[in-house]
Amino acid sequence: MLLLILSAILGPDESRRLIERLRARDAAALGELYDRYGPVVYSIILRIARDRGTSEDLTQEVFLRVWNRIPTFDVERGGLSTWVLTIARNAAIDFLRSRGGKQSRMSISLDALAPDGRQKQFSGGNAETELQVSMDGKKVRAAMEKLEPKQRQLLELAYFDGMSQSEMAEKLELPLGTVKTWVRSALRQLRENLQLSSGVNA
Amino acid sequence: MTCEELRDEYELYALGLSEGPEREELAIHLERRCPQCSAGVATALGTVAAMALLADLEAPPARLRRRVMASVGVEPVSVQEGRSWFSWPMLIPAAFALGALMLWVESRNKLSEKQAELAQARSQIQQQATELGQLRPVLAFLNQPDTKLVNFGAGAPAPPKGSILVNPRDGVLLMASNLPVLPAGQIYQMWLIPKGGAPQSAGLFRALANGTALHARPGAVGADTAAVAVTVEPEAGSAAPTTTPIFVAPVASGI
Repeated sequence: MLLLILSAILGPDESRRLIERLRARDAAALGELYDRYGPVVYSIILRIARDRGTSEDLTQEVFLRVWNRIPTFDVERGGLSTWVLTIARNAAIDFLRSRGGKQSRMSISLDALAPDGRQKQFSGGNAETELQVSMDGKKVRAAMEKLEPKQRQLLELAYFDGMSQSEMAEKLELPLGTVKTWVRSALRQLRENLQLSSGVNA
Repeated sequence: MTCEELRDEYELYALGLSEGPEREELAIHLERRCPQCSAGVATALGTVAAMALLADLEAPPARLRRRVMASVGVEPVSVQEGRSWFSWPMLIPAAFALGALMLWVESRNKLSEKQAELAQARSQIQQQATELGQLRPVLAFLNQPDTKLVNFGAGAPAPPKGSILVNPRDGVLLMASNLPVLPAGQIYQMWLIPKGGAPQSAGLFRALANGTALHARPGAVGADTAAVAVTVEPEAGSAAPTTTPIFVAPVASGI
């Protein structure tokens, strides 16, 4: 299974070429994109939606969104893998909240990042982004396991269940302030752990 | 707030947890294209996206690749590869065969005729299936004794018309005509509307050039489903309807 993850890793040049082909509406490139990211996208959606049929539908929608939005995607703003996985998680969390009759509050998009005029100024940061996402699951798990169990639980509730900090406080019967503090420290520590394991300096 | 003060907000933002004045402040920085915050959020999105790798990896079914390719019109999906009894892309080749059925179905709208319509639909589909050898799963769906037929659009002045077949175990099959062909960037999205609940997406579809469409949402249908609706949405689909439905077909007595 690790091979599946490793196969998703794209070098910057390879990533750019794939994006160019997708923009040129090269259908074979969509097939390659699916071959590289399909298993990860399907798995994360399955973990969130917990239904195989729904996960198939949402995975299909994710790749359709990527296909339709690729003309506006700027590789300098973030890695391709980050973009695809963010779309996948957004789709699954939106489904989850829609099913629960809750308003979607997931609006995280790479579209929010700096546009063309400033992109060259932070290209280094984006290389770092791609590097972090390209790490294998074992390293991410190791980085998570360095967190306190409660911190880990909070991050997983936020990431896989789409819970707000208030919802987590209610579920875990913790003061909201405590949840906020733990979430912040957990995210800070996760960032540092991932940077350490990938050899990236903060 | 300074960029340094917002540093801890980057991951919260990427995780969808940022709130209050900090979120607004960060949004302002991103809006004004602040290089430090933009780079910080980009990195944070990478950190958060890495959490996807915590999910146990499961290989998707092989048919899903064909569904993905078919959704952009690249590769047809064979009936044998459809999920459970069918998947909607596989129905594309069958759409032509069902054209006659749809024209026939749309002309009948009275509830009292439902059973007769269903019987005739079975008969016509049997003939087409013999010719094409591709309709067996659809036939099985129609033959389910608990499959319900819901008509819509009757009497409307400029209607989309058609029928919706609903089976509580197997899913929903929409057959429609008179659908406007949408401009680029728009797509039809079907919704299942539970009683008192938020609409749930039931997939995206396009109309053929002649205004007909055939769309299926396989899988169990909630017993509280009160209606099926179709809206026009941006091409990538929406998490919730963003336009007034072009039709809403009540499922009279629930599923």
